Amino acid sequence: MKSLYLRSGLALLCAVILSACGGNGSGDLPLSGTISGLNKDGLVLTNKSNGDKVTAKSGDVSFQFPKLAGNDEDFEIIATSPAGTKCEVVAGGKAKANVYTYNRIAVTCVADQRKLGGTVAGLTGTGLVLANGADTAAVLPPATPGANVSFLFPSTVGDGYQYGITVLVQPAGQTCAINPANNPGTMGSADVLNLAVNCRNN
Amino acid sequence: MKLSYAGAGAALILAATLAACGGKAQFTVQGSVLGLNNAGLVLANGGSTVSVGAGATSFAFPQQIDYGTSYNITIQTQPAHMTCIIGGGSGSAGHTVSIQAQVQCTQNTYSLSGKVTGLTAAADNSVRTVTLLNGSTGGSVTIGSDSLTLGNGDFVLPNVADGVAYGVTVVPPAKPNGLTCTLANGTGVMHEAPVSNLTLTCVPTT
Repeated sequence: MKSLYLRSGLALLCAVILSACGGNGSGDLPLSGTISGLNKDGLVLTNKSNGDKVTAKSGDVSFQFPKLAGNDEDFEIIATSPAGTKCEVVAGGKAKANVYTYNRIAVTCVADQRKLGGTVAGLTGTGLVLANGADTAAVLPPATPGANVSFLFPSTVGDGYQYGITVLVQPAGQTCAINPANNPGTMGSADVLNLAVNCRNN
Repeated sequence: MKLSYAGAGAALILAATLAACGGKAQFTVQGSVLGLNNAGLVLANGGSTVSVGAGATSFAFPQQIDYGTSYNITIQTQPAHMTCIIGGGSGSAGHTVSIQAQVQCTQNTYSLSGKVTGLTAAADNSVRTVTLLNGSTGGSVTIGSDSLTLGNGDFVLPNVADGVAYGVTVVPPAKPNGLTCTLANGTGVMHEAPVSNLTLTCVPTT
């Protein structure tokens, strides 16, 4: 009788120890990693293996899933991007959880790129250079005097990023000003090609 | 006759090879170069110098040094518009199989700053702010009335690399705060010195 108690106790102990070794959800590894380039709210990362989700916002550089993973538990992380940006799990997204893998998930986001440009009215002098910070665009007077000339900055601007253009060099004999209606501004879901620059003779 | 020339040649090569084996080992003081886009870099090791041209990815001093001789590579002249640093530039020849220093160069950057006037707190003492933006990639600074004295003070934007244009615009707050701010001297090209003449003037919106 006594030995039966002892044996069943021992069996129970074994079972407890074994269950601690196997991992079925109740582990102690916080699945986590890094995010780069996120400038929009609403990135959702999902662990396909257990349905666990975590949301990241603009400017976040790291994330951690709420559920802890057990040792050897499979995980597979997928990213659902916010509008206007493309986020991808670039490394460590699919593995068995252990001390080497649980915090090595890397997510990279790249904003969709839009064009930035507009129209200059009244330009007759040469030398006009417009700048969006470090990015510059030279604009020559039109072939037909009095016509408008369009310009396009060489670099694109990511969805959700700000832009602000200035007159870096005024044309000869003229002073140009930028219509403040949409400058500075924030790039949205479409190209901004309606910046307006007006030039008049000095 | 032909054969004997060949034989003599072979003997000479053999002798030369053997001579290289004997005697003290020679080491070339050399290294890799990263990011060097401009001319003018001169490296020195004691009295010996070497010029490294724009675009170079490696360098080597003309004179080799003996095993056990110490070397210390320094920058005698920085390239135009750039600052280079040296890693692994000193030691004793033979301590490692070969000498392999690293020179890394980056474009000089200079601060972009100015003064603000009239950015006072609101009538209810709440903080009023204005944001200055240097294009899409040059960064921004948000100035708050709480960081100023009676609306006056200084602001600093992120550094701008030498030779690069800057164009700073005033980003109005999403909700008008009763001030209209205008910026003077907000655009130019950074050239070999910090720019500190930006002037932001805020007046009550009329």
